[in-house]
Amino acid sequence: MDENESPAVRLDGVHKRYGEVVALDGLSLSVDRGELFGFLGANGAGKTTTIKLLTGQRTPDAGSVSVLGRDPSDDPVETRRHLGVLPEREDPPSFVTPREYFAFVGRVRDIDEETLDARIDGWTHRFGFRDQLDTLCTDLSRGQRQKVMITASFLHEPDLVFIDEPLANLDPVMQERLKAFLVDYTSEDNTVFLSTHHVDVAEGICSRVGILRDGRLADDRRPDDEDGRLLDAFFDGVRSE
Amino acid sequence: MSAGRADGLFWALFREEWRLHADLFGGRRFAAFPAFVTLLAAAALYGLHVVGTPLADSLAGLHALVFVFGLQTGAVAFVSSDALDSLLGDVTLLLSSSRTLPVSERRIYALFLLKDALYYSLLFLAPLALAVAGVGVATGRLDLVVRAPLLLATLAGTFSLGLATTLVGIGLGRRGVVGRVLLAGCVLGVVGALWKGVPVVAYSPYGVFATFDPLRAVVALVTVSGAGVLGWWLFDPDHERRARTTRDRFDALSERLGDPLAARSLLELHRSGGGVVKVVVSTAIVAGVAVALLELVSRVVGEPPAPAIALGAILALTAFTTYNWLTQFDSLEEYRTLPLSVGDVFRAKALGFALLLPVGGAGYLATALYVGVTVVELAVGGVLFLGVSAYLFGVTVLLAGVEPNEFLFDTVLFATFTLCVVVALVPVLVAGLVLPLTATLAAGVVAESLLLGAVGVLALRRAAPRWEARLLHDS
Repeated sequence: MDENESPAVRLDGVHKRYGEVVALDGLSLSVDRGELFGFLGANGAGKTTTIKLLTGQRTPDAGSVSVLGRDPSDDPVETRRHLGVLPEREDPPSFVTPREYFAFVGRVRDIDEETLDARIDGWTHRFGFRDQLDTLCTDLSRGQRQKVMITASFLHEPDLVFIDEPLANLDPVMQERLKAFLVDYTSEDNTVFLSTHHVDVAEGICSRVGILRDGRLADDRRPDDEDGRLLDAFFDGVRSE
Repeated sequence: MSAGRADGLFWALFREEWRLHADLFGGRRFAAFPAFVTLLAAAALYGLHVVGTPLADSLAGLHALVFVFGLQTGAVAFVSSDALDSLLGDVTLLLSSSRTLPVSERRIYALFLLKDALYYSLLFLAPLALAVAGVGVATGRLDLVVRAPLLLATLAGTFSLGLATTLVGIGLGRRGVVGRVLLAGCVLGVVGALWKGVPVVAYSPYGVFATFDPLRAVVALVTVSGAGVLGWWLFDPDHERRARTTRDRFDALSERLGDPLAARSLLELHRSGGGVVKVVVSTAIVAGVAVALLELVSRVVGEPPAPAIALGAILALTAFTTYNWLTQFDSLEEYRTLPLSVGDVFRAKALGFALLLPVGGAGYLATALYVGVTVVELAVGGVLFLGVSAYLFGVTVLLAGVEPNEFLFDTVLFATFTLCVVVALVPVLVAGLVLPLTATLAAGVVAESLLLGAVGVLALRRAAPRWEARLLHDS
């Protein structure tokens, strides 16, 4: 299959263990290009491990992984060139300013200066943090640091973005702006893989939702499916544990 | 809070410290650390005794080291929250319980201080006292066995004094100009008293160990307790710094270096607490130790015939401290969200290290000029400095990646690194201290320098695939 025709994300029978702990137990999943895919799961369900496998940070013990038509573990650096990644628990470096951090990301991702400036301008406008561009990141609030990390993960306007709990620490206005942006972003045939445990967020903006349970895909549905509410599907699994 | 609850919190803090260390540094292997400390300290003290160092001098040095350790422990726990975050990642300590629970901040900080004093006394200071007792047995100084409990008490007092001094310093430093003037006055007062020969040290915990006398013991106890109470009273856990802004320096630096990662590393080093001065201070300490060692050797076996070689070898140890500062805020995981390989990160670190190497070089030059060496000796020692520096850098990266502070507590890693240092340094160190610099020796030293440099480069090359595989297959 041509790289451009392949699904944005595909996992087939993927297993991953950390010592005695089984993180993924035969996970199979496919996400098409242009989807805003919500990846739901309880704490410890394996969401972060899945993202690490998809972004070439880890290799699976068994099974196959494909991202934009390539196996990320074959060439993780090249794979990540085409991806945006927003980890759940990551702050920008403490002793550089947001402006400097964006310049750093721009250089690593080969974004020309003019384009970079325009995109930084757009994001500082969207998130209203222009005044903090020259403040050391260590002195920013948690919410401001989250805005910096979100901006950094979208600076190169990637075809596929993995974002883990992007709304954390953002105020309600910023949450709404980000949600609107994500919907808009996927309308241009980009793919967003949104990992969250906020069912309402997934229900509100995602075009499709997968529920991860015990390292497997327990449910895969569109939020407007008529066979019950997403929240019920999510809690059914939790209750059965 | 009732006494019972305070007691419970104290032991909870104690357990937390243990689990934190065990989790960070080798899991169950960390339990072997006190035994390792005992063996290492005993070997060092016995070695110093064999080369003629009076045990009294070694024990004075031991107290000085413990004081510095107390200062550093206080600084890491109470000041350098960035360093702590970098080291520990996203963790919440019981120390911050007062934000969410009905526990007084001041009380929890007092318990935290007491916990540190007890924890480090048991884990580090008791093994040191045991090592001294062992050396006492081996050298026929049985009085050291009898005085081991006193030694443990004075080491604990010295450590607590260091911890409290840091707290007093931080507390005053955060109280505006008046506080800083007072702090400067205190420092100048102590330095002046020492300069004028006021017997300050005699009334310190070390003074109590050196010559026991009840008055000294009481004064030392009051001094340590007083410093602790003052530090606790002055320290403001809610202190918040104003947001610092700075103009963009990244682009110009990145352009000049041709490596954005190296530029970022150097900027972080420059802007973090202590800035580049940290590197200079570390080098100055190593330089001071090197000069003191040469003077000691002079007293014991006579003037070293080729001191530049010994200085080149010892000053190259700054490679480790410099790399430590350069990686203070690093984690390989963070870079793996960007199109960067582990090799890219190590290459950037090598560039940053090369740019900071002149600091260690200046230390070598200064000590060599102070001791007085010929131009040829200076050149040979300089080549050795470069070779050993490259070797230590490569070996450190290979063993510890970008987290060299793991050496401090991972017994196996520390032992491996120590072995690598000993194998490389001891032959040239001994040669430099006992042999005159003939053409043959110079050629041998240059050859060893080149060999060590090559091993360092090979280790660095091997490090990238090793760490890449380790991260990818983490399980």
